[in-house]
Amino acid sequence: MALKTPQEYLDDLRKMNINLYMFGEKIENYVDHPIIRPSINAMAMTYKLAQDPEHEDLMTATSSLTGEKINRFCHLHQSPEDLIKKVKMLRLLGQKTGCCFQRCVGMDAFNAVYNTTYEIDQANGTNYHQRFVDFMKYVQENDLAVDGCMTDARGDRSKRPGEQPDPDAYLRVVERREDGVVVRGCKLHQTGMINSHEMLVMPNNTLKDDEKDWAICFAIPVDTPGMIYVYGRQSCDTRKLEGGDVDTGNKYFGGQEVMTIFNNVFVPNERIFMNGEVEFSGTLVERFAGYHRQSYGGCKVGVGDTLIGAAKAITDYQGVSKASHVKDKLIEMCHLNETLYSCGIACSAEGRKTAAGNFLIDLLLANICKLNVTRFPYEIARLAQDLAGGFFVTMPSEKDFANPEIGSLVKKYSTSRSDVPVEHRQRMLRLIENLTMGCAAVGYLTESMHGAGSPQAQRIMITRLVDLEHRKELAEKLCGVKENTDVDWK
Amino acid sequence: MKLRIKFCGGCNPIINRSKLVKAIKDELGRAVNFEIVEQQADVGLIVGGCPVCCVNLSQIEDQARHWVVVGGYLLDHKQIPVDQLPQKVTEKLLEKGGDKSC
Ligand SMILES: Cc1cc2nc3c(=O)[nH]c(=O)nc-3n(C[C@H](O)[C@H](O)[C@H](O)COP(=O)(O)OP(=O)(O)OC[C@H]3O[C@@H](n4cnc5c(N)ncnc54)[C@H](O)[C@@H]3O)c2cc1C
Ligand code: SF4
Repeated sequence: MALKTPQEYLDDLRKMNINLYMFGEKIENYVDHPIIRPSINAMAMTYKLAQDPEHEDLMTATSSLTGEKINRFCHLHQSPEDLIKKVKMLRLLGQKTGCCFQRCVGMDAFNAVYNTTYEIDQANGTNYHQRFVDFMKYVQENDLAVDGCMTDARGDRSKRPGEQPDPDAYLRVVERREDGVVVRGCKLHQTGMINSHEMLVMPNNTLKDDEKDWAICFAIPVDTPGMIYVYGRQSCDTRKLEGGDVDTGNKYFGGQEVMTIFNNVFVPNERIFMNGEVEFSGTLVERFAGYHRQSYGGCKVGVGDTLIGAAKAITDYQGVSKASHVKDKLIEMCHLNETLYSCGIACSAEGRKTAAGNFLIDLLLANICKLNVTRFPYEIARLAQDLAGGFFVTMPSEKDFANPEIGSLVKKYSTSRSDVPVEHRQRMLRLIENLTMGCAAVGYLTESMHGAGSPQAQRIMITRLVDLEHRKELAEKLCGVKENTDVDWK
Repeated sequence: MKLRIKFCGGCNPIINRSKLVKAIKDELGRAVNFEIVEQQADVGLIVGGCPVCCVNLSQIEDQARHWVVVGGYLLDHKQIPVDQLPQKVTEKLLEKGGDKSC
């Protein structure tokens, strides 16, 4: 079965035995939990659109491992065209869900692990790459969702993993057995974790020789014994418990982040893809982060499209759409959004083949992409809030609109253009709230800031990848500080 | 006539692709009997949502003997007013699909 239906995907989740806590309580049926379900719906869209002839050209690819048609989220990129189509696919998903749809982190992780394991084996004569290829075939043949798992709890940020007072601040090997290892630690912020079948765990940093226990990369099923999950709160999350469908803003979809605790978890040898090779930890981190920084040039742009659409709609509903400053602000939002997209496309078009055969984005341009992403969605959100007016943060609840005593008055004073139903205005304002300060702002704003690394991480990469001395010499030659041998004609 | 229709992925379309295809099918149906096929078509129609038209023709070329390519408001690289697209595309399909030469 190369392509799963959304229903088959949901059925898979129902069969999983997940040890999950939320609001201090154990959650038994998480698939139907009103706070969690929108995030499952968002992931389900990655399955749904792959079945749709109007989207399959982006949503599917031909596997380089099996020759079968697979979901592009399971694909190892084989060309710059594949990298570009990935960005377009993520934009499409952002447009359709208006939130984080969670499946890209795994795709970015396994593209990075695929080419890094190949290079480890070349250098050390190990057998990780073939193991990983076997794992990837299993993922592709069963159309699995995989969580990409990198960020540790990290403890004191000024200390390295090996220097932490609590060594579990970074996930590590605590026991080595003949048939595998036992790991302990915690990965924070895990996007879509309990909506995934498998997780692919990677080290968080460049490690030193005496930090071999932290240099561990592996994959396990999400319902492996010893795993404990604690659901992350999102702003306004309990509105989903109120039973309405207006105040949530996004009626169908949402994101998910989960605190993921590895409480002495066994990993069998055949699922280990790095074990102590500290010299490759930096390469793996850099490549995963690079792929993920490219991703944001697609997914955040798609969500941006929905916010621009919401801003346009609300200016129509409120009767200001003809004002020149309104048009100007909408254009500015588009300009910012398409700039992000341009960066996503550019780092893909400049992608290169790795020794393993899959394609890697241009790392400099991917970091430029992500650094812009740390800023532009905030400006787009600011402009949307400017155009929306203040009612999206002061508007009464949908229950007040429905109240038999005051409902008609609430509606009367919430009406803007008389030919626009008040409920349309109400819904659109709630969507803007959702995207700029509610549940979806987790993905659209804060994840834009910190996801795939905080802005300083991109600046460090840019410093490494840009040759400033070369630029200095260009200037020195032009102004005559250095001899310019190019001009050799009389 | 055997017709293959291949959509782009639809990430940022500037035309309504489904509406266009429906209009083309209506128009074509008035002129000729046709069936939608996946392979061995007399003519294939690529429906790209924008002028980029990022469907990779080389990967599907053997599915039809001739191809008509729409990319946003472009029909086989020529700009066409959007409201004339259904009619012009149909004409092209009939022209290319009726030609049995290889
Ligand atoms: C919504 C969301 C989803 C995410 N999803 C995933 C996921 O699916 N998988 C995953 O692995 N990770 C995920 N992440 C994690 C993300 O990669 C981290 O948030 C990011 O790397 C920043 O780490 P942090 O949150 O620990 O912040 P910190 O590292 O504590 O950063 C806070 C500030 O401290 C600065 N700082 C940190 N360390 C130092 C230092 N040593 N010296 C000087 N300054 C320093 C930073 O530059 C920043 O300004 C997600 C994050 C978010 C917010
Ligand atoms: S043709 Fe245009 S709209 Fe369609 S997938 Fe390609 S870029 Fe997106």
